Amino acid sequence: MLSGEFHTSYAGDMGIFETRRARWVLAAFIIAVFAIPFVAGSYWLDVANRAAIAVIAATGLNILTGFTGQISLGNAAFLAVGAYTTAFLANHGAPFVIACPVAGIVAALAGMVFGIPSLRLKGLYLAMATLAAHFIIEFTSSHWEAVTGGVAGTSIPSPRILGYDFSDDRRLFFLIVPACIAHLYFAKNLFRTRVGKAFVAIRDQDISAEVMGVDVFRYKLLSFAVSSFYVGVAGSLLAYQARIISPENFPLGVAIDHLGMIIIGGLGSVLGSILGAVFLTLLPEVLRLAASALSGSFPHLVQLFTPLKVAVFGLTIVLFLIFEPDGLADLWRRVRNWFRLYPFSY
Amino acid sequence: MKLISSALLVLCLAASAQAQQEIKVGGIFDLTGITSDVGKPYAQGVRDAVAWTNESGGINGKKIRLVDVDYGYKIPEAVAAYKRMTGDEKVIMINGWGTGDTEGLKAQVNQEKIPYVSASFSAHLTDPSKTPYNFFVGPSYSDGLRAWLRWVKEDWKDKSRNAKVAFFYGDNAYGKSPIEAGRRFCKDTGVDLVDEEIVPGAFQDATSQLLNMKQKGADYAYINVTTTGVSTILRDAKKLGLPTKFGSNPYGFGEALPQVAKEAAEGVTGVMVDVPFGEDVPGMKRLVDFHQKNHPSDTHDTFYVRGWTYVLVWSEALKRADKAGKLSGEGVKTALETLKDFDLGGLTAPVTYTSSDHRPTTTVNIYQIKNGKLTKAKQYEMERKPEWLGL
Amino acid sequence: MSSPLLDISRVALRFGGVTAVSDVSFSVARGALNAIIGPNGAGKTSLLNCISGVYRPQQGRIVFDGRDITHLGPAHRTRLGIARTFQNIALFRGMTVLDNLLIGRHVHQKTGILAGGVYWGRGQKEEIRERERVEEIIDFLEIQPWRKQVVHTLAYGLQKRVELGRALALDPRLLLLDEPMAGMNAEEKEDMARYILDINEERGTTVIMIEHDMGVVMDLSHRVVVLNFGQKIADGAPEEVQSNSEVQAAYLGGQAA
Ligand SMILES: Nc1ncnc2c1ncn2[C@@H]1O[C@H](COP(=O)(O)OP(=O)(O)OP(=O)(O)O)[C@@H](O)[C@H]1O
Ligand SMILES: [Mg+2]
Repeated sequence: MLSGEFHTSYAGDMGIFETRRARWVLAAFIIAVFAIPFVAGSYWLDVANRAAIAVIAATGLNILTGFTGQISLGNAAFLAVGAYTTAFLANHGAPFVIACPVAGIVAALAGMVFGIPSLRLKGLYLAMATLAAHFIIEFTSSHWEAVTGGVAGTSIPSPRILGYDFSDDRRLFFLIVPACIAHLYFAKNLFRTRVGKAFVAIRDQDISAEVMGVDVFRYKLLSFAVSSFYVGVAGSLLAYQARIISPENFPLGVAIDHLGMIIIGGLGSVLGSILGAVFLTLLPEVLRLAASALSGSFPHLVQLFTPLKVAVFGLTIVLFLIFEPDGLADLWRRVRNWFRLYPFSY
Repeated sequence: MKLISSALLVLCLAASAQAQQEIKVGGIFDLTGITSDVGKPYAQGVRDAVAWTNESGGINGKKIRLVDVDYGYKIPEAVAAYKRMTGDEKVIMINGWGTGDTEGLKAQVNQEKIPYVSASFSAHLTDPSKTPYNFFVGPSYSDGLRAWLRWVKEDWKDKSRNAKVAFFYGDNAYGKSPIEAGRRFCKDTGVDLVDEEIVPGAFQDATSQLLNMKQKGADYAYINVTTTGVSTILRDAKKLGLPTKFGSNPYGFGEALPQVAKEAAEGVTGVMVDVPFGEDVPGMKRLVDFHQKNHPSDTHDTFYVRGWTYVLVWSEALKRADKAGKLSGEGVKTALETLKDFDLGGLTAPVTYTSSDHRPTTTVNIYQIKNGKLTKAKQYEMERKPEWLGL
Repeated sequence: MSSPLLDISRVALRFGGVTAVSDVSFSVARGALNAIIGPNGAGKTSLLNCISGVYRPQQGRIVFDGRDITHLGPAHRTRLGIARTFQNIALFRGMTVLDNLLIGRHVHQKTGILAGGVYWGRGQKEEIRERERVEEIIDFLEIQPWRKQVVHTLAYGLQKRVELGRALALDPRLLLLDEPMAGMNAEEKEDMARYILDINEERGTTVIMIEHDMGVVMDLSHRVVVLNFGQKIADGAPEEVQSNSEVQAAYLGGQAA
């Protein structure tokens, strides 16, 4: 009978997943994910890889905004820092295993610099400060031609590990998805241990966090660093996956997309970052399919696709804010609880 | 069981037979982005020319299937579209559009041997030792600008000093493409480049840039943006009463310009790669016939003609590759490089590609707007200098 | 007699034109359970904020265990062993009871971000050890059934208890309680009083509490400091203070106003 599982030790009770069944479900899910490259065509593999990259970036933003309460519009910029660092390093011969983590570290440093205003600023004011970060980095990436290739962009060789060339999306899948899983695992652990709890404490009550001995400013910067590290790694993977990056890859709209992902998925929830990122990556693809399926009967629909995408995005966020403010993660939790206690759901 | 498997086999055979009859070509167009003013008629030209080719016998009996997409002039969208087209759709070649995306994809198309015939006339795409799979149909942006500067030199009558010119261009790869070539050519011909003004991707006002230019005292100015931007600049210049003589690149100059910019367009010169729609040249008949038959109420322009010339060029290459039994990316590239003085019936200059030079032509026509009409003013044969290859 | 645990001399705190605390001095012996009382707006909370470091007084000196802490930040003071609760509950609303208490263990832990993120070896051991430590406090305060509940869903009285637990988790040497029984019914007050006494007597923690309920103050505290308009008007044993005429006047005046 599944209507309860009791732990006999604190170690067991503190496990990363609440029940044994959760572990099984997860294992099945991971197996299903790794079946994708064996069944999907390159179109859907491209989508899957972009979704996994978005999951890392959204988790990064969620660490900062959802868990630590620091609103940021700088995500596209930190993504750009990671991507351009990768482009620069890879074009100077650095292998993937160096370029990718270094991209994360450089983005983390950038995040810390632009996180300094969080010492004094909160909420909307901090959002404005991070917006400044966005424009500074956007300006730099379109004008520092020696490193970024300017508005024309720059190309990135495909990643290699031990001589194996991850040259297409099918192969990249086995690089990107494990990286994504590792980052999720790290985030999940982070929030059941000391540092992550300090982040959440700062979000909920910064004064009492300080009084409880949490060095609030240091931990805010740390949150900016961890968050931007995630986003930087996502940027690095994006560079390797897209093969060509230009400032057009990192408009403000990307930062807003990422905020949309964590709002729709659930602020302060690792699962929410996954659900939101996958949802918003799939949404335009589904719209695109629908538009092209209908284009036979309505040839002008293709031209409406772009505005349609924006409108559906906006509408989805508004609907979530009104009806499901805790996001998809909470919806999932309620469904799961209903099944867990089934047939005694009431 | 046996029945099912044989049924499957039949289906597979039918599908592959179907596929054999069809040649898939990718189309990456701008229907909604900042260059959609000229991107839309161009895309229609390509689509119509494909339909016309299929009606008139196809590629030695095989039909072309155009797999096209609107990428909104966004490089990442073009990259994603490229992936889809080469991945699942397995297109044999691509008819592309913008300079930024075409230059961005050049390494990949080379690696994957996908001929990329793009509407970008960027001279950076003409050196086969660097970009063996890139092609376009017309003189390069750089040769266009050089020819226009030559026209300036001739038009300038005051021998006491050199003519002063300014460049206006967008902050993107297309805008910047011929600028370096133009800077050098000014020095070589004895024209003084006094000012460069950068305009944003989409803009409604160019007054501040024009006032800067006025201060520098430019006698001539070359505008390297698409028609909407050109007419904005012309209109604002007229408002400010500037005496500057303006010239335009091949995507800023077409039938729409005198219609939109009205008197402000009078006297403006421009590089024309293709003749205006309906021009009395032998190659125009099939366009007009197709137009009469399928959409007689539409209006067309030189960009629509450009779409046609592209299809006429690459469909000829497909035919030659098919005849040679090499209907592959590499085969199409080789076939393109066999085109020698390929005649387009006067729609644009004859086209030649060799394995060491992808400049299709160096003939540049300068048109001028007179009484609201596009009128041919001058034709230049630019030198095929080796040091200009790729610049 | 050994040196006092806390020594406050001539502390003054002003907010613009308002003087919240003026020239207050007193000291607290090790192991004491003292109270600060006074009418509303007398400056009690402000004084507590000066001790815990939330506010910096413009004047005066605060010495904790022989060390001048006047210029230290709140987090630093916490590490030295000063813990507090707030007059208006300031729990981490979105966290569970357990997590709130675990934040109390923050200063005693070493797990860094990497050790935490990979949850392996020493980091994992430490988390489990701290969990055991926190469970003791949960047992002591009898809040076992609500361990995994998010605190903002709990009843007010329980939240107060959790806040006490969070302060206790710090293993403080000096515990500052700002009206720990405000808004409680008689039964809850009795429980809270018992916890405070136990903390002071069994754990040997020095306690300073602000309280309006005179009955509780008289029953529990060893010494009482009385503030009025930011000034100390009395300091002594409960009976002494109660009979002080100035105190009586202040309270009557305070009530009349
Ligand atoms: N942050 C602040 N800014 C300005 N004035 C303040 C601030 N905090 C307290 N005060 C003022 O300082 C004085 C003392 O307030 P305090 O909160 O210390 O009183 P209290 O004795 O704790 O009162 P109560 O019994 O109502 O809690 C009051 O006049 C109050 O208005
Ligand atoms: Mg108070």
